Amino acid sequence: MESVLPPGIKREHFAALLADLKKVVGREFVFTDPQWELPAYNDAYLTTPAELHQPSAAVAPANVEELQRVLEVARHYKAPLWTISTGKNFAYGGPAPRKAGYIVLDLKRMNRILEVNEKHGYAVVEPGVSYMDLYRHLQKIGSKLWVDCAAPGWGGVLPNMTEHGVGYTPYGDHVTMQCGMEVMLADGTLVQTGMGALPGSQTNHLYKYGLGPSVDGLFTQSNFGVVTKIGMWLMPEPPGYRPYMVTFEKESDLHAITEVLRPLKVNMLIPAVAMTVEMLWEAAVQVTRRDYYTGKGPIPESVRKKMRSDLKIGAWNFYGALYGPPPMMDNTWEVIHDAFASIPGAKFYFDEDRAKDDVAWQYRKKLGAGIPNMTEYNVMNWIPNGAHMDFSPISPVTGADATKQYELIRDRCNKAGFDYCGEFAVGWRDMHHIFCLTFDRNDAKQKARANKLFGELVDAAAAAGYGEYRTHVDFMDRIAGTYNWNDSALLRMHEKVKDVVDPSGILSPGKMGIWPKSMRKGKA
Amino acid sequence: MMKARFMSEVLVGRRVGRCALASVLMSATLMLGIVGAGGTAHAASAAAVSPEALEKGASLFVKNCIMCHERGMEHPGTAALSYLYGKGKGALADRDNLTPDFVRYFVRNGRGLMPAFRIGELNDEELKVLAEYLSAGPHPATPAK
Ligand SMILES: Cc1cc2nc3c(=O)[nH]c(=O)nc-3n(C[C@H](O)[C@H](O)[C@H](O)COP(=O)(O)OP(=O)(O)OC[C@H]3O[C@@H](n4cnc5c(N)ncnc54)[C@H](O)[C@@H]3O)c2cc1C
Ligand code: HEC
Repeated sequence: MESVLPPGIKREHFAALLADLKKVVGREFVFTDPQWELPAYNDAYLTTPAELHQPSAAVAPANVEELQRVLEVARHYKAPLWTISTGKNFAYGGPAPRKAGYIVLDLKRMNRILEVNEKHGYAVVEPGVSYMDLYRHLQKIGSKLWVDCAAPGWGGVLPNMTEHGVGYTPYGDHVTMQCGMEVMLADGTLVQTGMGALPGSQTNHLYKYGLGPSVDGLFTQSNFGVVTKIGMWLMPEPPGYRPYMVTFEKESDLHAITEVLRPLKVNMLIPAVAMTVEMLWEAAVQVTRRDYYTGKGPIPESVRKKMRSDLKIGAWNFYGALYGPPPMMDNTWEVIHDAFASIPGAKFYFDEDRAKDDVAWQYRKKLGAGIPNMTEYNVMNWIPNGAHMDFSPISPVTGADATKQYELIRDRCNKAGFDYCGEFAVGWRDMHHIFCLTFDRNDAKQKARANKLFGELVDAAAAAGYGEYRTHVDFMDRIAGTYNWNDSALLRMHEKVKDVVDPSGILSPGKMGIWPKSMRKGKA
Repeated sequence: MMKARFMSEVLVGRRVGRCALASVLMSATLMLGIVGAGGTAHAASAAAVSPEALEKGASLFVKNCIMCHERGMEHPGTAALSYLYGKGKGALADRDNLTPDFVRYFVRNGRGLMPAFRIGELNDEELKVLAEYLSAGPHPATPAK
């Protein structure tokens, strides 16, 4: 890969900019070598040419003071930065900037766990703290608090929250569990939101809203500031944890499963983010496609049947867990069991019913108790050189919608020659439908097809009234463009805010379709 | 260098079968002047690495790599390498044919589903120690998670 320049910056200015950055963070934390230093700042799972996301440099400040001075340098040269924290946003672009030439602002070195509050159940972390880091720290200090992690345990507590990420315990909706935020604006001002704005506040991480407008949301999936610290509520270890799995025989059971689970979820008998997982996802984490089928196109039903019986899985597989004192779990289980037993063919499993080397069960069991791991990356081992992008529309918790979304994706996906590999993560009143579009990263034609399919899915979903909850850097404009009610009033409002809080347009231009004034015309 | 990198990416990508891969890896690694998986065993002699460095390398391995490379098919690195090199041959800690340059190359460039590591998360000095540790393998007693 050749070196590139930040958009609108001349070579000699770039050299001066780098020299200034080095004065701030030291030579060793400004990265420019396209062979050894910058490949790690691109997305390993792109469907577009890597050149489109090649950064010009990366800079890694160690603390807020250095960050403040990095922003000053960026403002001076009007250089676009792209903020990352742990930088593992794979399936949605990894650490790669929206456009070539940006300077990646890498906050991984700001990785202190500032507080663990056992009594009230929260932790305060800097951007670079991964789930694994926090988990190991809690273990080390003998804490009885759980982490709630996304499936990839190397992701970050703070950046996953700012991306509206999800985990799998009752604390799985990360935005809901965040309380107290420190954010640096583009002009270098450090702001504490909520109760933190009161000097000496006793309740910064206990009450979310403070006085006046609640602004934390302005800094999630956004480019209005750089979040430097958050409080995150942690769940106390419950007196009992009993994960379960229910398998269903028929593809069409998705309708009934979803109808059964809505009241269970709304009434909080299922407290955690529960999962309805399609069989190929279950298969992909433990076997490969070629173990079963070497033909092209959708896997025939006879083969799918064999997979189901070999792996002891259903066409759909529901994962949930009971939490609490044993008598409570016993009672709740009766209700849940009876509800799902109304679906013919439903089979019920607890830990003792699944094998010790059942990869799918074992990692779900860990996730339900917030034990970080990386097993889900196995989905990409489904095919050689597998990589993937997630298409993630939000669905109502109804059988009709789940089925409609499933068919909408499945049919287009099969037509384009890909396997449907997907799951529904069930939240409070919605389901995050995650379609894992797996392609061969070394096959240019397949990547082009995957990219095209993704665009078609965005349009078809929007036409049916479904929008995505986050997206890959390559589709930010396209998806932001579907949220266009009343002549794109929301996007226009975002742009107004952007112009005020970041007039030089230095922070993550193009993040979720929000461009600074200077770059609005050129948006791709 | 650039050409070699390109070759390795393209060639290693074309996984026709295990034999083809081995020979391809061999040519790619020879071009790079590094010997690893497909090459002959040229492990750095363990004697050259101090026990302190080995210990540090082991802890870096646990911190950064083991979540994907621990023994067991639930770990995506181990699973991928088992698919490539054969059942039971997927764990990095069991390898006797890794070399520092080979490890360094993969960590900075990634391959397959393994993304590259940034210097901000694993610096060159740490990578050197980690690579020496892996090259001094096998390590039957790698610390568990
Ligand atoms: C197999 C697989 C499974 C996955 N499963 C899940 C899952 O279960 N749940 C889930 O939520 N995701 C999942 N993901 C998606 C993703 O990997 C995770 O969400 C991951 O946590 C995001 O990466 P990160 O935490 O390192 O964030 P980063 O890469 O550090 O940041 C992500 C984005 O957040 C913004 N950002 C980062 N830091 C800041 C900051 N300090 N201030 C302002 N904005 C900032 C930036 O726009 C950045 O691009 C999965 C991905 C894969 C490949
Ligand atoms: C996200 C999971 C993941 C992490 C974390 C990870 N790896 Fe890997 N690694 C893989 C996968 C998967 C492969 C196989 C790549 C392929 O299919 O070509 C691999 C391959 C390798 C190889 C090539 C082995 C060979 O002979 O072909 C080396 C060396 C390696 N990893 C070292 C490391 C080191 C050192 C670390 C820690 C700094 C690390 N990996 C962290 C997933 C990971």
